[in-house]
Amino acid sequence: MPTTSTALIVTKGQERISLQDLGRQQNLSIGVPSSGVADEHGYLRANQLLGNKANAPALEIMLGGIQFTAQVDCFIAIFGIAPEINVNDKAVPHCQALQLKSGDQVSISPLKQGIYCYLAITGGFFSSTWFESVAGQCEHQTSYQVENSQIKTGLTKSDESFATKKNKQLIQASRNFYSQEKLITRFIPNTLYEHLDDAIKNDIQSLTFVIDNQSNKMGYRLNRESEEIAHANRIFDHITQLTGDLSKPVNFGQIQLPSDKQWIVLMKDRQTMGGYPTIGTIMKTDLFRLSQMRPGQQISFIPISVEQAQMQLSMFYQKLNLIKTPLK
Amino acid sequence: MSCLITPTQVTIEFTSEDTVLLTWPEIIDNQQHQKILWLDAQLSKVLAEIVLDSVIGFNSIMIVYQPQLISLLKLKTVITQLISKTPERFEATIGNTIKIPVYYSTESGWDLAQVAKSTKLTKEQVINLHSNDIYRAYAQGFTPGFCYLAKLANQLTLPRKKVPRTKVPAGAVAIAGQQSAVYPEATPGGWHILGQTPLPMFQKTGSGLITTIKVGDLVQFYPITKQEFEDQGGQLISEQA
Repeated sequence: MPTTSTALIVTKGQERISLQDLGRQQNLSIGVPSSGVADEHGYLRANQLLGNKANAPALEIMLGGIQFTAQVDCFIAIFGIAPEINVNDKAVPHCQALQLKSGDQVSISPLKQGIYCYLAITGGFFSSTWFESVAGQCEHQTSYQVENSQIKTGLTKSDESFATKKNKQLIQASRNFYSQEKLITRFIPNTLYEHLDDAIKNDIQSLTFVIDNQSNKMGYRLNRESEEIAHANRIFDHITQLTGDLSKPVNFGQIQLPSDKQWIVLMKDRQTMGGYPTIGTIMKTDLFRLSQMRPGQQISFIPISVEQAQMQLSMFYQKLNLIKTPLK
Repeated sequence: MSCLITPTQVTIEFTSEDTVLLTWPEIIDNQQHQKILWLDAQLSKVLAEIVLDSVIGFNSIMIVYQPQLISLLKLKTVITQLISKTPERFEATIGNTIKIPVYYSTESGWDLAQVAKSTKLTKEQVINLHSNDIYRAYAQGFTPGFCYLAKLANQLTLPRKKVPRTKVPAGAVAIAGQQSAVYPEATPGGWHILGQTPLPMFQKTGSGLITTIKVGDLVQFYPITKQEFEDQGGQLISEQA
């Protein structure tokens, strides 16, 4: 067990904070979901700003509105969709490394956009792991730990120039990544979708959904616009007839059709088996975008090939310094 | 209408950037399931560095793999070759036999009376039918340690409850459709509860979790008294009015 110190103490909003990483890759077989951060883009950016390992544990903060006090001298980075940050009552920029002295008070205002922002610390926060991930191990607490060996009292010059120089570029990149308006999600169609008549495929692509209040990290519930009832009924009847009764393994991002009124997109904390009809799976980079969208925002669907989705994901991970390898 | 859901062969679908779903005909069948387990074992062996995880269903298997290490074409070729090598018949079941004690009663089996009524059987007949059969664990999922056991006697086949309960107790032994299961943890659920078991469905270890039943195991339920249930550490949970 490494020696650790308390890095920060939360004084407001602890119920909206959880420690996260990229989750579990090898336990779906016994019914344990992969879990992990909702928005890998925000999380990886925060770690990247500090030169951390891509999978370093960081805080996932839902909707902002938190305050904490640093307990050690440290460097942190906060990444989200334009979060407003104050250190000792002075506004500081997001998207860059921030040097904190022990005793500094930091607040993140309630988020005006998006659902989550991510707070990384040099070397990552420390927690016990379960199935090789910290996800779910350390939630809603008032104190978060770091390993003593990771406490860094100064960034190198190159770190500092990276943090400041890239700031504007990163803010712009973040704006470009996330959707301000309606998100047209690209999905990898399953065999069932591929065999549908063109008219039904067109119906599916013409539907607009509104994100329901009852959406969370297990699933996003999507309500179809009421004037599209005829299309939605036709799709639902058609697809239900083509779907068997037996439960099957489900993916992150699977689009399920439990009824003609409401569809569900399965998110990171989903169950591992399901029996509802499905038309396919939203590509991962669009799922990270979706995870930042709020109830009331709109989404629709267009198909993409699995090859294109793989290429997009590979480019995304390369840009964010994550070469995907097993987390063994 | 094209018969998409009952292919005579195995369907191979790349369902996401890093998963491939293989689907067999839409039936619950011991022999077919053994083919699925055989293929799972072969894939883990042949593609040891590439396959990260797999989830087995009644008639399907989802493979999670590392797309940066193999092309779609190569993966499909390997899978197709293995499918063609699958033995036609399996002689014996490889899994263990797990015996699960159940305190069947109206106080532990919240739906026992209703199930008896709906199936036009006596409560004793329901208990006998449920505990006489040997079930196969076809799939695991929903929550950690939740195993889908089949097939249930035809006389006991009922649709899921129309309104699921918001909380089913840990250890609830329940039925729905052609399946039976034990709820490992208190969770929402829409299955009909016949009794409760004192046997935990998983044990958490420092770094992970060990499940009592594994996919491919055989499972038999046997009735115990309330005294035996309590002696074995069972904590009876009654339904709140």
